[in-house]
Amino acid sequence: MSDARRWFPPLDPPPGGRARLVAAIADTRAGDRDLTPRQAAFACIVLALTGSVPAVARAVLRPDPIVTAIATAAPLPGRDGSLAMPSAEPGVQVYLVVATDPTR
Amino acid sequence: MAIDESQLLACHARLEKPLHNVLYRWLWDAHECQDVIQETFLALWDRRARIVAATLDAFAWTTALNLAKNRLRWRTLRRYVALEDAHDAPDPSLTPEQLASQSRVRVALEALDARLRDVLLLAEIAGLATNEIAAVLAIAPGTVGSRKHEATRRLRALLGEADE
Repeated sequence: MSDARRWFPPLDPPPGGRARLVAAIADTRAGDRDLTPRQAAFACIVLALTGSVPAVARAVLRPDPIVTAIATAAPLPGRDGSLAMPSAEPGVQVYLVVATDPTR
Repeated sequence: MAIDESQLLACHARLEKPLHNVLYRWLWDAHECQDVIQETFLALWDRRARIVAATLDAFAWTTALNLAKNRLRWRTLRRYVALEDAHDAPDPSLTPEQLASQSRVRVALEALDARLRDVLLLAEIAGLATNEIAAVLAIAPGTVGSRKHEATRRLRALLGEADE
């Protein structure tokens, strides 16, 4: 008996391998093949990244505070010819000054 | 270029047994071998448009060996963090005597360098010719010969058998 025969006695694969393969190929044709573990892990990463998009967008696209203050200001009658415009933007106060001299 | 379903199934019929025998000497788990073979042929099917029929067998061997080694790495990691019991499913077709002999061979094979083990298994179990092994492992034919010789010598020594 050869070394290889002694060391590695031939084994028969379990039956049904071909049928499983044929069914799996049919599944891929139908477009409903199960994900492999690697594909599933990749899909989870993509979902997690997609979920973080709103937070990232808020941080990156944060508008200028002055613009926000003007957009959210509500004019109140002033005492000295100006209109105070308290805004929703904390720490920013907007004043509307009415000029009587059209050249200014 | 491109292979069709009949070529893939013919390749499966041709390689299923040798693949099972080689992969079993890497994974030592009959069920996992079948999973790797299935995964291999599905990977080939996914890439069928880019595969030439002449290199289909070599591609199948390379893919199967890579998948088996990936699984081994994951298995080692899972066992390291104790997510899985260290239990393999021996091939049900083995007799008790063969199982006893196999455990000795397994210890010896696992002591071999992976590059030597690849060449030895492909030559002795799969019966691939030197140039076929060279194509599968992407090494020079001369390297195949020297690795095969070295692997056989070391395996004999590890099994406590006299060198020729």
